[in-house]
This record gives sequence, structure tokens and C-alpha cells, in this order.
Amino acid sequence: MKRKLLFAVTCLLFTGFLQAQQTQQATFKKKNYRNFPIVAGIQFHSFSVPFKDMGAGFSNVGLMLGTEFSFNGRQNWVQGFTIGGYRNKHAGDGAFAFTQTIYRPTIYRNFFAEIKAGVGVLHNFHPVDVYKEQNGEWINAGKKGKTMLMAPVGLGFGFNSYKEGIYFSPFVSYELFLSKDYNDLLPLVPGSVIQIGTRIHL
Amino acid sequence: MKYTLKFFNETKLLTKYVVPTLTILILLSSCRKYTQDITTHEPGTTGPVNTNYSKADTLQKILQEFTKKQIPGAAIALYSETEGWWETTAGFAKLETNQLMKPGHLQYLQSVAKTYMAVAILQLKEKGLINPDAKISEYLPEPYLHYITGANKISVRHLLNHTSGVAEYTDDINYSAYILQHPNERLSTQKLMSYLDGKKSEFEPGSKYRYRNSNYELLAIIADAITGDHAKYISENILQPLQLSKTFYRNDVHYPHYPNLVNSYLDRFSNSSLENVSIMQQTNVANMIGDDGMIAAPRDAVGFIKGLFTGQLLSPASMTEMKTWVKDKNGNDIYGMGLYTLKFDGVTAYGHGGSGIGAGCGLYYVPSQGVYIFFATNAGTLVDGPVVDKVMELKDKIMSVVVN
Repeated sequence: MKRKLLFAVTCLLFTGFLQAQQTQQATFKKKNYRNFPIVAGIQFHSFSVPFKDMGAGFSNVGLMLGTEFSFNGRQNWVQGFTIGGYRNKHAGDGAFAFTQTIYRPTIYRNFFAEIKAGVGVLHNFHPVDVYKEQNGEWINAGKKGKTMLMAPVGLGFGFNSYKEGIYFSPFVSYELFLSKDYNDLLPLVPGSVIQIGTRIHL
Repeated sequence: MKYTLKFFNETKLLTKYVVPTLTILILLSSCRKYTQDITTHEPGTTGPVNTNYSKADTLQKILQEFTKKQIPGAAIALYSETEGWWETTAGFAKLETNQLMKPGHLQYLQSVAKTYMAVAILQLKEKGLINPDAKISEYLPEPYLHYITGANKISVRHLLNHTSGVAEYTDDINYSAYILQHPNERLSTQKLMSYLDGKKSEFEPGSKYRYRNSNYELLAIIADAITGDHAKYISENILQPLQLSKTFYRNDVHYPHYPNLVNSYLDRFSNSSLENVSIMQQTNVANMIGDDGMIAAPRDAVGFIKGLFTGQLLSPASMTEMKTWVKDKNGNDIYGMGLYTLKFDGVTAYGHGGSGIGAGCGLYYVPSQGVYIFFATNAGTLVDGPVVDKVMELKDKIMSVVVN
């Protein structure tokens, strides 16, 4: 299942990448966007359903790094790639990698909104060391946790004033990380992430 | 050149302010030493046991076998009407320090607390302070009354035998998420019950059986309204008469922090990796009233069920009421008032099981054998998975020996 999904995602991204290269050349004159900016930001994670208990996240700091390319040479349809991690002392730290398709319409002058959804993987560590029984002995197995498929969906808001040179495009976004098979009691668990970052167009 | 300079300036800004700030934040968050374990002291000795108990060797071997198969520690205490007291333990009260589980260690009773709560309500009925057939809207104070849909159709009896149709507060995903993100935070009863606010009844009261922790949380609130303090009532009318001095339920200033309390372990990801969740377990248990919250030495738990079934707590009429069973969806007798009726190898037993984040237990009376038994483990049994499967297997093996 996981292999099929990864294959499908790889194909989709490769197709998108080729398309982006072609579209970029075709629409060169009217573009408001350059592919492959550096996307960097700080984020705050909490184990909560959307828009609940949002304050909890501010003690769980994380970092994200990514890039993206446009499907049409403009900023309104892009495919993003993100890796990152966060600390969460109570629910366990996390490391993730995901890709998202992002719809980013301009809403007023240089301000844009974002709606994004995608797929990825999340590794959730245990908050403390765990013990495993092996041949009747209990062994300290460290904090190693579990890797889960996840669906990151989000809403965002930002500013993009296109320049030919290097420029920054700041944004804030609210993401919901839905992780699958957390355990046998909770097949789907939510994580909420507030991200503050910028795209650095080089 | 212009762009290079601009990039240089912006990079300088980034390296001068943004990167150091982020680094400090990350370092600060990674400096926090986080643990969940508690100190568990060596308990004192318990009362005398019959060292010649006929099933001692078999039960001891079962415990030893399972505490070498994913279960950290386990305890059994029992009273046989013909052979007297016997108790044993195996495995560890705390894995991190290889501290052995001993009979005097305190265990979590989890949902077994419902039996105590039901006894308290039936005692109040005997005193004429509550009518089991009255609607809960007569007793339930605000804001709780506001949270329960159809409270004017639900009777106290419906709560006692889980036929109320009230939704389950623990099923709310907000509750689960909050517990995982704030494992050490004490939650008020009002906060717990607020998860029921706006939830529809699951069915017409009295029309079917569905086990819900909410029912017993509501009974504790009602008992508070009647007595002023249901925990004090339980202490004075159940624990003290039976001389259960090692049972703790909000009846002293230390609750829930006791030096002999075992550490608790959770298989968080259902993959047989046990994580110490002792503070989370302790906090979660202390959050609940009526449906959970009891901590006791194994022998005390046995003392309670023995006291109940030997008529020391309730009148014969109330005992009959307590053992008036409602049926499950298959038409089988299942639940009375704070009591299950079960069959182990075809032999009837009465009692209750308990599941928690970091513990599991069972307290049963087997009339045909004249045996009262309590068993407990410090492995969490709330989250299904291979560890819980082992605990269930252990329970079946213990009960199979006891009833045969």
C-alpha cells in the first residue's frame, strides 16, 4: 500500500515538474513567480483537532524547510515539498516529509490566500524511552517511535510582491496533520501546526 | 551586483536575527528534561496468607510466564471461603529500576470504581435520599443538567445499569487529543462533562444497554449533590466499615500520590513498546469521579467485594436489585448495577473489570467456588494491541484456574 502510494506520488511530482518547466518557458513574459524558492519557517505543533487548543502549540517549536514549483508559471497553482520537525515533550517529537498541491489565489493587490492538501510521512517519537521485552528481559529501546502516513491540509495567507531579483514572500498558515494508524484505538489522529515563514525567491 | 548586495543584506538579516532566534527556541525546547516515571517505594508486608493454597503453584507460574511476555508486572490477591487468604506477584513495579512488584504495592482499580459508586447510590436509596426511578433532572445540578440531552427522561436506574443512552465523554476526539497533549493536567469534572454538551442521546432511555463511563460520572455528581461530597460518603460508609485502610479515593490530602503506587506503562503505538506514563496515568485517574479514581492494595480490593457479597454493605433487597441484569444485544444477561455477570469456562462470576491508560484489573466473586479474586497489571489496557491481547489471555488463564 505504502509503496504504491509513494510510486503514485513520485509519478505525479515528476509529471508536474516537467510541466512546470515547459509552462515556465511558455509564459515567461507574464510570469509573477519563479520556481524553486527556498521556503523556510518556524512552526508550532499541538496534538489537537482544528482550531482547538491552539495555545498549546506555542511551547512546541519546530522548523520547516521546503521548495515548490508552479504548474502554470504563476503562483496560483504550485506543488510544494516540505521537510521538518518539531518538539513536543508531552506527545512526542515529530519529523515529517510531505508534498502538497497548493491553490494560491491573489485576494487583494499583493496579498494571497492558500488552500493546500497533500500526502506525506510523519515519524512520531515517544516522549520518553520505551522498554521492549526480548526473551524475558526488558530492554531500553530509546525513544524510537512510529512512522505513519499522513495527510497535511492547510489554509494560509501571505504577501508576494514579485521582483526580478531576490525577494521574500512571507506567509502564515494553519495546517492540520492527519496521521493514520497511530494505534489500534485511534486509527486517525489530528495534529495542528501554525507556520510562520517566508519564500525566498533567488 | 545590485541583486548580490541585496541578497547579502537579506542573508545578513537572516543570519543575524532570525537564525539565532530560531536556534535559541529549539535549544530551549530540547533542554527540557522530560520524564513520566514516579518513585515507587518498597511496600510493607501484608497480612498472613495460606501458603498451602491449593492453586498457588499454578497461579504463580501463570503470572511468571506472562510477565516474561510483554507484561511488566502483575498481582493477584484472593480469598477462598475454604482456604483463606492468598496473594502473589510477578514482574516489576518499575522497569527502569528493576523494582519487583510486591503484594503491598498499590494498584489502580479503574472501572472497578463503578461497583463502589453503585453501592453508595444503593445505600442512599436505603436511607431514602434517592429514588432510583426518579429522573436525573431532579438531582442533577447546573451546569451538568444543561449538558445532558433528555435528562428528564433518564432515571437514576438507567445510569446505574447503562441503559441511559447518554453519550460517552471519552469518545470525543477533543478529549483524547487533549489528554495526549496535556497528560499531566488535572481536569475538572465540569470540563469532562462539557464534552457531552450538545451531544444527542444514543437511544431512548431504557431501550438498550450500552456501557458508558459518563453514566457513573453523572452518578458521582448526583451523589455530591445529595451528600455534599460523594468521596467522603464512600470513605465513611464503605471503606471505613470494611477497614479498607489501603484504599484511596480522594479521602486524604495525598491523593493520588502514594509512595507504594506502581509505575504504569502504555503501548502508545500498539507495537509492544512500553512507555512509562505514570504521571499521566495518575493524573487521568484523579480526574475521574464515579467511573474511576480508586487506588488500592490488592487485598483491600478483595476485602471490598467480600464485604459486598457477605451482606456487610447492602440489604438483601438492594443486593437483589444490584444483581438484576439487563441484557446485551445478543439477549444475554450482562450488567446489573455496577456489576457484570460473566461466565469463565461456563462458571458464573460477578464483578467488574477495569481498563486504563497504564493499568488493567479485574475484581470478581465466583459463588460456586466461594472465591473472591482481584488481579491487576501495570500495563495499559485501554489502547488495543499485542500487550492488551496478552493481558486478556492472562485474565482468562487466571480465571480458568480459579473457577475449575
